[in-house]
Amino acid sequence: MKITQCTKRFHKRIAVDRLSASFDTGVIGLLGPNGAGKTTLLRCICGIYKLNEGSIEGAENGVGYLPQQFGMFRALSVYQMMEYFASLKKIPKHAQKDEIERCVELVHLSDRLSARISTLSGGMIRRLGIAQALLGNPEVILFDEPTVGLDPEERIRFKNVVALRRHQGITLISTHIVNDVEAVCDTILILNEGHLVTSGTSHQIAQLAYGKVYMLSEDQESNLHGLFFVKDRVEEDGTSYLRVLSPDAQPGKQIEPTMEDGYLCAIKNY
Amino acid sequence: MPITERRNNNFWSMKGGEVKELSMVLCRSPHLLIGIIIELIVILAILIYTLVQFGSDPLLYFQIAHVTCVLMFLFTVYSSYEYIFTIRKSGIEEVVVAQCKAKGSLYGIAFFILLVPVLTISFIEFLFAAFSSICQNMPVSLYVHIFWGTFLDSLLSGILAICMGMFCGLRLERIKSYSYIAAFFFLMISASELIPGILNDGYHIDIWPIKKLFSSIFLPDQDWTIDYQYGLQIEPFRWNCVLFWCFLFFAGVISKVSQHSSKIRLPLIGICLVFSLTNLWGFFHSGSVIDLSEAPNSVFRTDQVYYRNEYPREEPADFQISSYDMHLHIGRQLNANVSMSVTALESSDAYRFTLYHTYHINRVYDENGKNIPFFQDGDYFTVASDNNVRIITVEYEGFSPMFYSNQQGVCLPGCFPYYPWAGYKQIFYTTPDSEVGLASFIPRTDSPKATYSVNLSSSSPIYSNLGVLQSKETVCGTTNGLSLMSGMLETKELDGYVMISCWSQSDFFHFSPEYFDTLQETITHLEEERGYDEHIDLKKYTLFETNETMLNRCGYGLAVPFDDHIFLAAYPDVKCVAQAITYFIHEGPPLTIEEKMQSEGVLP
Repeated sequence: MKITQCTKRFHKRIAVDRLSASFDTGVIGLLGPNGAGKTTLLRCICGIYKLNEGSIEGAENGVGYLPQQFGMFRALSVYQMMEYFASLKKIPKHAQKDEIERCVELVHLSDRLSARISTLSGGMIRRLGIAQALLGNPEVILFDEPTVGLDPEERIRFKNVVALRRHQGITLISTHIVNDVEAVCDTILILNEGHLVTSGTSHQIAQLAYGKVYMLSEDQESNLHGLFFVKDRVEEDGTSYLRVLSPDAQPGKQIEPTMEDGYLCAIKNY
Repeated sequence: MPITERRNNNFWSMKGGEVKELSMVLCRSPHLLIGIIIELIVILAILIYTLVQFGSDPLLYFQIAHVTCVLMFLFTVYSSYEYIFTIRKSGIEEVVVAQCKAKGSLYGIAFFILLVPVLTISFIEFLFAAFSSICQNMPVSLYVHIFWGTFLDSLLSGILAICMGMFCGLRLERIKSYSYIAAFFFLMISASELIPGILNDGYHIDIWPIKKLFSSIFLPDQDWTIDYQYGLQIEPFRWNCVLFWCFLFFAGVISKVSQHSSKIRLPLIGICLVFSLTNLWGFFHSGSVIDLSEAPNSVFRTDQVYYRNEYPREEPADFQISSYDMHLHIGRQLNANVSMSVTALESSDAYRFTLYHTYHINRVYDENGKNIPFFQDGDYFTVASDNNVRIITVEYEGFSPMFYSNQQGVCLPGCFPYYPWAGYKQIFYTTPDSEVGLASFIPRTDSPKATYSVNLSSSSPIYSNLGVLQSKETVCGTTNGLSLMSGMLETKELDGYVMISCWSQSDFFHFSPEYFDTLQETITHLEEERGYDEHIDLKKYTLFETNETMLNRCGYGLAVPFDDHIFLAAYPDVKCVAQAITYFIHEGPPLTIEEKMQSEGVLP
């Protein structure tokens, strides 16, 4: 997939600004704060929005898509809903049943096939959304905030499903939860205010914060100066410690950065 | 590897899957399903009740059963709105668009699902009406009329209801939608006629055309007696009206459901808007229609208002018309080219004619094609010419609000000046209290005999006193008045009496050989009583059934006799009809109310 100078404007507001990127097969994470342009970019990729400028190649043959706000016909059963999507995706009639069962199994909903959607919980509906995106095993799948509402077990299950797809096509996961992408994504793109800030593996992202993460005791807080961001407060052996990000030299000791540190540094331009 | 089948080799089975699930959405939404079930039950109940009550009169049944179209419209708007609103609010749109670019397909299938109940009910309505016609042994043409009537008032209105419901469902929230729908519906029904009525009569603001754009969607003027010759009003302008709205709402629906990036989006919207505007143009160029409302150009108001300020003229012709050569085209209105062979009886610089005022003369010329100056003033026109002119040709077009002439029916009796008559003749009278509508046409049958050659272009056969005219045919003959009638008519031979009457007739009276025998006997008896020398033989006349328009709307009375044909009202009191014929033929036309009042000394 190749994104070239992709620009999307809503009246005067620029949601995505001259964004370029290219992906090979694998899992790609799209990280960014609220309003960074992640959902807009996904919508541009799958053709919901028409680009104002630029082009996107590689998604012409159809995508699997889980939107942020996923809706269903509440009057239908899980199987009927999946059957509807299977028909829409032009999955041959004879293959529909097996394909539906495969996808529903992946999200652990096999025992709810005949249940009405109106009886499902929010998390189950989210899983059903993931299942319908997987239907037909499309080459490109876009997940927009896929783990919202999922319990920890299902979150892990989702990561496993995504990991299984690693060599089958492009999976693009948009989220602002760093943990969701850290373990599973081959490449991570960080967006802010419509711009692509940086991209790389989770390790490369983490390295962005190298030498900028400090651990200091609470007593030293008053000595902080210049630009800094208190990321965490932890209690250890009865003493409170602060985890601080800063481009400037700060009191306390420098520690090994995590991907979240790298992400925050990229967003805050440290 | 993706297992998605990109080739559409199994297209319909794929669509079948979508239809199945989307139908399920409809069926499993209690408020929608119950709505449709109630709709079916109510409509069936009304149809059965109406059939039992009025089944013996197919047209009356058809007219009364039209209330089901209104009900269906309401139910369809409701179910369409709620169904589309359900789909929209489900949030599924985004997934469908993203994965399959199938937003159009999603709503397209929804449209066809909504169409199923509309088609079913329309078919049931047609079957009931057809059953009523079968029971009365009606000719095939009536089924055609019923078919098109059902198509327009039920199916097409139903489609409009779907389009409107979809349009609102895609764009508006409930309260706003139902407010707009309620306002639209209010404008469609006759209750809202008060608004243009008050505005027009009180403030001279004419919003009737706009009102008609709404009220012509349903069969208008349903509480009026049917003109059995004309049938129910399914004139082209009503098709234009319904199609205008359909295409307009459809354009709105397309603009919402089609992909913005789609190349056919704008052309499709453009085509819909062009069709919509074309139909709007057609609506406002309706031509001849039966309009029984209170609008200024309606059947009653036009003549009432016009003749209130017009003074009738009566001036015998100082020339004679020996023959008419007519080329008539009847489309939405009458387009005529009438050549008259004239012979001056006295030296004069002008020829005076009578021609109903709504026929607009475009050109008058002589036998050499040379234009002759003319002056049209209301019902009269004057052609300035010396006495050397032998043939005067008049080209004119138009229609009378009362005496219709369109593809659906023609009612142009010889006693109405739809073609030029020699001399000035009073054709209308108003009583002193004409404000309340006491105004009537005067049937003039006193034109001298002339030879007629009539060539006609029309979509249906025309019955005339000179014979039945098919389109592009010419009939010739001599008479003192040419009557052209068309619509749901047939020629009946009743024991020697030749009758041109409507297929469908009201329940209380039918023409029969016995009736004519009794009528003939009564006429002969009256003639003997009064001592008339000449005797009327009804078998020598072509008998035309006087239709509702002539009898009750323009006030032509029970009988209007010409030399070779008589217009006869379907009236069971034989004596009254016999008197009307006898006195008219032997003593001249009956007195107008004005003349009666003058003879009784009430008026000076």
